[in-house]
Amino acid sequence: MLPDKINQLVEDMSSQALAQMASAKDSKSLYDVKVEFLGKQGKFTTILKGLSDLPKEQRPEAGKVVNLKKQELLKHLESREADLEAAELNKVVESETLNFSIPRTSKKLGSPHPISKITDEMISILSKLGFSVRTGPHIESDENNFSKLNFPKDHPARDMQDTFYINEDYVLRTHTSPIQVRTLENEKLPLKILAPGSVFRCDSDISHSPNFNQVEGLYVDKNVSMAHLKGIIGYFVKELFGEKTKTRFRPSFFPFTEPSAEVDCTCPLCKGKGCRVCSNSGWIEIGGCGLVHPNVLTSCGVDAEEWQGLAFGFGAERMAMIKYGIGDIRLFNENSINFVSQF
Amino acid sequence: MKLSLKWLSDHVDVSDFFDKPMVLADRLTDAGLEVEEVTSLSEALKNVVVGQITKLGKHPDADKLTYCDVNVGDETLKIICGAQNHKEGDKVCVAKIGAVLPGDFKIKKSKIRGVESFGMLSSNSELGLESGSEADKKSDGILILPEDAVVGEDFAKHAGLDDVTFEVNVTPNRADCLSHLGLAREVSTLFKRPLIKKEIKKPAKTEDKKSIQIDLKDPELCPRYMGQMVFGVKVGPSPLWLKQKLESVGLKSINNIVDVTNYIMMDSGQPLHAFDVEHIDGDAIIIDKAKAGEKFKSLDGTELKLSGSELTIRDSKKPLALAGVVGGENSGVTESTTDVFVEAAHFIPSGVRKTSRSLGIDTDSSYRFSRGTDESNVDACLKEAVSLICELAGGAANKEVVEAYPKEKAVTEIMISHDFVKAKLGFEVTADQIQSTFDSLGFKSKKSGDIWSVTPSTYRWDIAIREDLVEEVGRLVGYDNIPEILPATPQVPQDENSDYINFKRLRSELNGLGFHEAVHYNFYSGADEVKWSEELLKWSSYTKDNAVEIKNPLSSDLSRMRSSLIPQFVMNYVRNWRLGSKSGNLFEIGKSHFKVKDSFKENNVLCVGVWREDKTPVQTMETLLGVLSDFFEGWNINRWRADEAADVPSLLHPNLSRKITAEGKDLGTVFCINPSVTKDYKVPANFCGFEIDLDLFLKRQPRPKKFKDFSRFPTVTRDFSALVEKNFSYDEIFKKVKKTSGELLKSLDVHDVYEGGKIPDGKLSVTFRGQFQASDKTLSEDELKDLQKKIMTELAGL
Repeated sequence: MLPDKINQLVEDMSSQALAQMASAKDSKSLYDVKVEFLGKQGKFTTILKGLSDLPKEQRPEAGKVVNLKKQELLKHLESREADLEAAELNKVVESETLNFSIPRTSKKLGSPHPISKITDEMISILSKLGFSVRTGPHIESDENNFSKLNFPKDHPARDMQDTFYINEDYVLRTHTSPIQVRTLENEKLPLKILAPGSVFRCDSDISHSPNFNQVEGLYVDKNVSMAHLKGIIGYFVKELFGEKTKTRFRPSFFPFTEPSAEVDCTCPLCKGKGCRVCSNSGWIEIGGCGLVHPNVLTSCGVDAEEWQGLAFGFGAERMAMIKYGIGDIRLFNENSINFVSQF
Repeated sequence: MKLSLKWLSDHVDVSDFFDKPMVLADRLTDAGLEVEEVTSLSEALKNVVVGQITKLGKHPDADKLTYCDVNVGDETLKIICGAQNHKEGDKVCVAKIGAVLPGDFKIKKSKIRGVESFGMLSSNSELGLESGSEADKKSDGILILPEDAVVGEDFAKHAGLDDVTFEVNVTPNRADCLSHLGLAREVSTLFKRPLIKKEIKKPAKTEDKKSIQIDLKDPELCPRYMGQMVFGVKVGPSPLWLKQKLESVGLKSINNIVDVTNYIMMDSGQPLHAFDVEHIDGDAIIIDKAKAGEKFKSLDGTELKLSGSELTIRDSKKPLALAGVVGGENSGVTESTTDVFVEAAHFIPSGVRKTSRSLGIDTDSSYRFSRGTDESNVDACLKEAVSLICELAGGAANKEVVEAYPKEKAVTEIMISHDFVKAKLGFEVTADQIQSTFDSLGFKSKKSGDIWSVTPSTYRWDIAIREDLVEEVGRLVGYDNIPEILPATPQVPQDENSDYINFKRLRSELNGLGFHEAVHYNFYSGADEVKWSEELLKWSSYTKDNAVEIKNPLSSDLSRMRSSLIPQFVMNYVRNWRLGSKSGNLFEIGKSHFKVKDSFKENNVLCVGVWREDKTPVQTMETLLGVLSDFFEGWNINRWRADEAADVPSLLHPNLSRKITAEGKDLGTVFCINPSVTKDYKVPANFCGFEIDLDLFLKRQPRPKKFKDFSRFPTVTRDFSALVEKNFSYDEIFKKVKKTSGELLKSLDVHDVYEGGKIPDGKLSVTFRGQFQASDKTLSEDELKDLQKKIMTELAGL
């Protein structure tokens, strides 16, 4: 074959290939074009094989021409390939649509009980001040629940807490204060503890549960005052109900504290303006507190001359009722899914 | 304690508070005497006045209506009235325009058949006075007032209803405030107003006879006992002022003698008792414990059997009264009584409380004695009572007053320093503020240097130590002065409670697995729960005797402390299903309670319940087992099993309930409800759950997870089918596969189960899916083929 003829053949083959590449609709047909012209058995290979017919000195020149064209075509093919793939992907993407307005759920998360939720929140606020949790049994000795907390037998203060009795010496704890006794008797001073838990009173109506929950705090150190008590409770109330919540103390009586106070805070619902929940007073009662009575320290083996303490207690149900706007205490123990799934 | 403002006026000037009772109420509350309710009758009867009908005419358009001119003092009103019982000149009760009668009945100017009416002539019932103290209680027609009624006067004042009452919640330490005098003292301190000294009249007539004597056998329970006789009394109704006073604080008037004793009690806080002398055998009143087994009939006719620990007031033959609690029927004052013995005494609070509690008798007297009365005021109260009895019942007071008072009360003296008060309150209280607190309370005090020596008033027996005085200073200076200061103490690290940490983690994991948290009571509700709990106790290592019982439950079916949470979860499922929650996931972390010999044991337990409307019990159990498995894995507990157990309680499904064992320990129960139980409650039986002992479960937690190096080479999946027995053991299959494939086996799942068709009865065709991976190379096709062949051979041998 003559070199001119080869040139001509290469040119023809090339235009053919280019035309077919252009008309290829998808990567599959483009691949077919690749095989037909540029494959191992393709048309360009046939031409290259045919070069052996040329005189030896013309071969390199002719081979160069063929290979150059082949390279050129491959490059074109690649770019065409990329275009086609992009178009195909684009088509796939175009076809994938979804109506985002339709509601869908995956497995629903469960929720904590409001008592746990509020208790955890109370504990996490107070733990920032260094308080840590202690626990104790529901069935307590009369001694830990009453006597050591300065409620002597046949003292009218015992009437303040309607008690469930198990036998002569054991009761269902009426408050979590026996945990204070257990801790004072067994741990080193100074200490800052919280006693959360279930307590029992022989009383049941819309605002009283026979089995409710408390969180109590006890801080024993060498210089403890009412101002510290107000500081701790003031901080706690602001964290729980909002920065603007105010605290006020009213004198009261608890056998295990002296002086004693009841704690009110500005009603978180009406922000102190007065509403149904706070009986239009703007204040809402949230708990009791005081400086630990020296008799309690003494009965727990603590030197009341050297050490003093402060203690405070809140009802978890009460706090949850205020915080979440729950009106009936009985809801807490009915455990309807409709109720417990809300928190 | 019910407080009448009118009554309080006997002791301190409070006239300015009738218009603004809340000022007084708030101040008392701030001082620790919480006022729970304020009731003002005159407020309710505002714009209701006494009027006089000056002209009685007929309505021009209605025969049955009268048209009256009514003089109400400053004007004459034209009022139309439908009643027929009034005539010209009658004094009547007029609700003027602006009055709001009970039932939110607002009086407005109105037109009746074309004629304007400016108010309403009212009847007793319209005024809400059906049981009121106004004598006229005729219900037909309007109220006609006595002729001496003052025209224009507020009706409330005319009827003695112009009082304001306060319900004061007196804390147990402030027994001194259980009387009008006590609260007057407090008002006097708070508002710096002087107390009005009462004058006690000398009895008009006296006698000089030998008195009944006192034989005080128990001075420990009764430190002071006094008595005086009054002869020739005429028992009858009390005068109006006394009746009104008693009624204003919620007491019923009985007769002039009993009313006087009640009056003194509500006035001064000292309960008294009057005995009919005729029924006292012998010549002495004996104060001694009851005889064991002795019978006693109280004033209200209740028959009591005494244990012997009660202090009694008795004569030579019988008990006459339970000291400080209640009088006896045998010696009470009746209409035929002529001579009385008036008792005034001081009884020790704990003794009175014990008697009152053990016999279940609560009286106004026992309430006050068990909180503490003023020992040094006994004589004054007796004197006043005798004087009043003579005045109202016309008797002659005996000159001899008998008394037993072997040991006068020791005087308390408390030393307190200025620094102590400041340190406790946490702010700068001045010496003047402290001094004025003591002075305004009437406490005797002497200051030397920085230290006071204080003697509290006798009626403030609650003041015993320094801290009590600090509280008095605090509350009178005002708790509002206390600043908020966070304690600046060196941090002492405190260990957080591990149960609390673990429970918090458990809760959040279970929330993540889709479970809502429940909190049930710690005692069962209802007979079914108790019955089921007994079955469950039997299934565990306990018996019915290990159950804890409350001695004084709210009701008999709320008496058993829970020993398992399962019964409550079953009832909860029934309740929720009925409320429309037909699928649900619940869990609770709570306590189970047991009695073991003479002590008690409480375990922390986790109970989980699952119910699915669209699934069978078997499918529900499958779901639950998946949860259980994920849950155990999270806590790094891998070796756990659900073992078959004998004697499954009838509450539970016999085939679908098992004991959970982990690492050789009995951890709890996984269960499905028995359909025979749910049938009774008419709910489906697809309720499953598990309950585990958290104390055991958490024993070695948290378990540190250790890093294991992992292979970088590809994982290959291969399936194997095998014909197996219906109740095949996965563990056995796993062991066989593991034996053949060794370290290469990464996991083995049951991929598909097929039965029926060509599969013989009692057999299953199960496809297992294994994942294989080598740690040091990519597994070749040949190696895999070889492995697969070996495994198939192993499984074929089943």
